[in-house]
Amino acid sequence: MKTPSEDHDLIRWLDDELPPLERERFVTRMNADPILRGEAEAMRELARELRAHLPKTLPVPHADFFNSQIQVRIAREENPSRASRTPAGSWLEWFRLPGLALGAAAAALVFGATFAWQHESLKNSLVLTTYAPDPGVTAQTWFSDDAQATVLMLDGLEEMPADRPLVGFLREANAERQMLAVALQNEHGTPYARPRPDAVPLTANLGE
Amino acid sequence: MRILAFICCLCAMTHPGQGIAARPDRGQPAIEGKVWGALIHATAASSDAAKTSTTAPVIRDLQQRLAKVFPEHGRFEIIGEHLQDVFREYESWVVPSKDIFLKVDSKGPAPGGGINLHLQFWRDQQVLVKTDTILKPGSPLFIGGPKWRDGRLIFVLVLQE
Amino acid sequence: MPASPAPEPAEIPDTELVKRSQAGDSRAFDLLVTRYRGRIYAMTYHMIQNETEAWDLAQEAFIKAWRALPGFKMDSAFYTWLYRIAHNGTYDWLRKKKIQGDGEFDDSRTEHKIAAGAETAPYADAAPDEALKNAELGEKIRAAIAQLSADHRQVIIMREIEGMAYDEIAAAIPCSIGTVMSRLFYARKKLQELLKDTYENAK
Repeated sequence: MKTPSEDHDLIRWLDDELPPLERERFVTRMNADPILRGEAEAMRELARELRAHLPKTLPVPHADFFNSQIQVRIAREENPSRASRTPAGSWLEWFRLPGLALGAAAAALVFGATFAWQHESLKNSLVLTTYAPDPGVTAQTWFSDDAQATVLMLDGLEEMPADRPLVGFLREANAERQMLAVALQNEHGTPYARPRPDAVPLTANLGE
Repeated sequence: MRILAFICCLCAMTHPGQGIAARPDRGQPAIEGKVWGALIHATAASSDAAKTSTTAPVIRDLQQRLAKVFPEHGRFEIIGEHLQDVFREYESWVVPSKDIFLKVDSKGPAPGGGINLHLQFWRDQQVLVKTDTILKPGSPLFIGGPKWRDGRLIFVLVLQE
Repeated sequence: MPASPAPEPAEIPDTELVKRSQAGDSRAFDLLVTRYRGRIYAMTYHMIQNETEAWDLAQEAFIKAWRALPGFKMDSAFYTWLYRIAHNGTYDWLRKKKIQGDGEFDDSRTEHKIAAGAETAPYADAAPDEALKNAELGEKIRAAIAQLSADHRQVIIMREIEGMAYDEIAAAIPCSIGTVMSRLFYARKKLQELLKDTYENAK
């Protein structure tokens, strides 16, 4: 049975962390011990495969947006009072950033704040920035006076397959969770999945 | 099975006091507020099904308000709903459905009330949109999501008064 | 004699960019972000294997670095310092999420697909079937790494990907060199065990 120290020697040999004399000694021992040699070779092979398959650098998705969002965060932190009071201020800063045009186009970037709006929206929710990783997706945001609601409309999303049942939850904070498959029906009136008998029906029409 | 495991993981995350996100030495994380999130299926069909109340304090006239933003739809059914604390420093997940859910990171209280939030709108393992949003109490955010069957999925998020 | 042209951003040394950043020049910092984002993102991605979260963690690391820059004395290379910030954030995230060691690996987390030929230079000219095989092996390796505990995963990534020496790993974690060696040994043993079938089938 090997000792932890012998394991460490093996590791240090593999990682070229043994001083020359100890290295020589270990190689001699390895040559005399086929089991140790086999183990060392297997580990060396593994290390080689790991290095070959785990790149040290990966392309950052939406790299321009990655950079520009950092710049926006920095700008906000440098001048928090202006950033928090004037969303449009940070909006303008985005356009001073290098490479923004490309990044913005690729990232489907939309800002929903406007000057005229902000004074009336102190009580309304406000979408400051949106970013859709999929460049085919567009995001539009506005405040609906009729509905008294803030809207974030996503277009270009891939449709959910029609034959896919959706599983809904009925959950309250810090309460026991319930899970049920929603009994949405297909075109023949057949439910895709039946809720548990004790589950609360969720396919409820909202009260008028 | 894997998707279910992921969702279970999400469910655990929404309860950091009991789960993995909690710091036992610091007790329960501070709470910034409480949000109600619902996944709604909007269809063109007229509203003829039995009315059923939801379990959460839903905003007033939700159906009419949805109809004003989505006039092509006449019927709005709740697929799932979730009342969730928004934690300070910890991420919170609003998971009314295992298929579509929302990650919520608080960026602190907003001037004049409400919470500064970073939201991520997820479908399965994919982020559909990220947004910085100020959520004000009682002022709903409607997110128009993907189409499904003969309608559209809508996510409603409301900060409780 | 004409004045010498301004150096290309790629030629400006880190120390110069760091000094300018410390003086509040966010454009200089932007160049540092561009220079190191791929390496930092690779580390966060290899650690947690989720593209979206890795992206956020990498970005958070740069924000934290910006905040901490005034205190950076340049007693180590900028990248080493930055790497530690990114690593600590990622490790902390992993611990909070407790992804590690909780059973079956969920390979649906692995959104990021790397082109078969892009994995490594020696395979760049491989035939399509060879490239596919490499891509499959790469997936299996990533899946195996995802099954390691956070402690084991971090030493493997630091050693095999970053090529860090034991003392650098020990300083980054931080822990003793003996702990680094033990973790490396057991991490490699675990990987061998997890990849055993892959290697046997390949023979």
